Amino acid sequence: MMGSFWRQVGVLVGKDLRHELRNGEVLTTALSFSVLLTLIFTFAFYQRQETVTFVFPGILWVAIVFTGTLIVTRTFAREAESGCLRALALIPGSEGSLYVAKVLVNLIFMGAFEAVLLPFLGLAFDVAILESLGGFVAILTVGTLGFTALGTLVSAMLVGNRLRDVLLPIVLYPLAVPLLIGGVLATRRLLDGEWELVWGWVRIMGAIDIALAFVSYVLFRWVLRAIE
Amino acid sequence: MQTVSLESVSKAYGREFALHRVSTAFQSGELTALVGDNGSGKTTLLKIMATLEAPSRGEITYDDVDWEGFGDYYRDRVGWIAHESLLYDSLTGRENLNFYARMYDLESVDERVERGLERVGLVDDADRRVAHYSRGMRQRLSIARALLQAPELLLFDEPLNGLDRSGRRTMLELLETLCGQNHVIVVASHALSAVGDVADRVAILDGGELQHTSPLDSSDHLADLYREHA
Repeated sequence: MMGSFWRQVGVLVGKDLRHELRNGEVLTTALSFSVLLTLIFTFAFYQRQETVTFVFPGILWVAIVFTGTLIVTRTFAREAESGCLRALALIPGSEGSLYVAKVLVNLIFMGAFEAVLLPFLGLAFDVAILESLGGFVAILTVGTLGFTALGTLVSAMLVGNRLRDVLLPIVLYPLAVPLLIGGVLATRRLLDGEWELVWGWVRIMGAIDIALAFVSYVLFRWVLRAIE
Repeated sequence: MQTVSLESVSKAYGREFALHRVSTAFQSGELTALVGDNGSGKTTLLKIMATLEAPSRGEITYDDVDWEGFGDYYRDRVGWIAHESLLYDSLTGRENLNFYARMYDLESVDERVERGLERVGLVDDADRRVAHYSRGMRQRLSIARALLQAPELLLFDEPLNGLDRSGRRTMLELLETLCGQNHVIVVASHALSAVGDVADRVAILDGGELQHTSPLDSSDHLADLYREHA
């Protein structure tokens, strides 16, 4: 049973990655948007090195949230365009595997753009990313995981709604606030070199992730039935 | 599967009934034309039979399995064909069938995919992306997709919509072929003359209520019955 579940996850992830490799619609948009944001923020907020600790975490997470929104909005676009959700709903056990696969695909896309964004921002603000790479990876991983788990559910809830591009941030952002506050504060502590506080925040964000992922997974099957 | 029986099946959305006390039975080896105006409850009935929606009241049995049991364990015995293709445009025809076959965890995937492509005459176009297919080709591939896991219950929701004359002809030929293979087939359609030529039986819905059901002789017979009951 579990073997079949993970096989379905693998098939779904492979299908989405193949689509992205052929069309590049998600990553191209996400990368160009995040580079543009970074440039604007750099010229707008960079004054001197002492201010970096204050502005860098905010800019990093604003870029992640805005670009991440672009990514999660497209989560079910391909399924919605040709009614494939109905065909998938008829496949036994596909509700759970569809959710997990979509979260994984969004994680891969977000990880890819964050891998470009972080060094780019580090260069622009003269932050030694490599010195604290482990901390950055931990904070971004827990932050991105929770955001993606929640964003995937919200995206599914709005899949049949013509105003989904407008409604998604309105529904998603308030729910993601605890995670984002954690992300900003953890990044700030990291720049200050207060590692103990960093790991404290990472643990809190990890706990939020578990709660969000569990609730989203459970709710997803109901959402899928409702949109059918 | 021999019979799908509905006993006083209703579906309500709020206070509105999309289906009201529908009782009938669909037999294997028989193609039933489900006809009615827009909003008469055709798609709702198909979705309930496919276990995509739960009935508000009433009972459905698939041979001797109830609705819930069928949805939990046997949903893969349902094939759904709609006017939407339910295919991924960015994948080729072969990749689409391959994707669904793997999702169903079927054995001998490549063999099944090739057989499916042959059945609908798309072998030569199998490696073209579906985005470049005509409407008729998409519909044929959609049928190959729905038949991959050898379903016993085939539900067609307006399969002739948007098809040109040759597309319709191909679809009707496929329906006729399927009729001889012991499937339970229900076709919801507005195209009375087309579907009347291949259907063995008609069920007429109006305002969510089943107005009439009987064996069918010809498309003229269907048109007469429709005028009388819808």
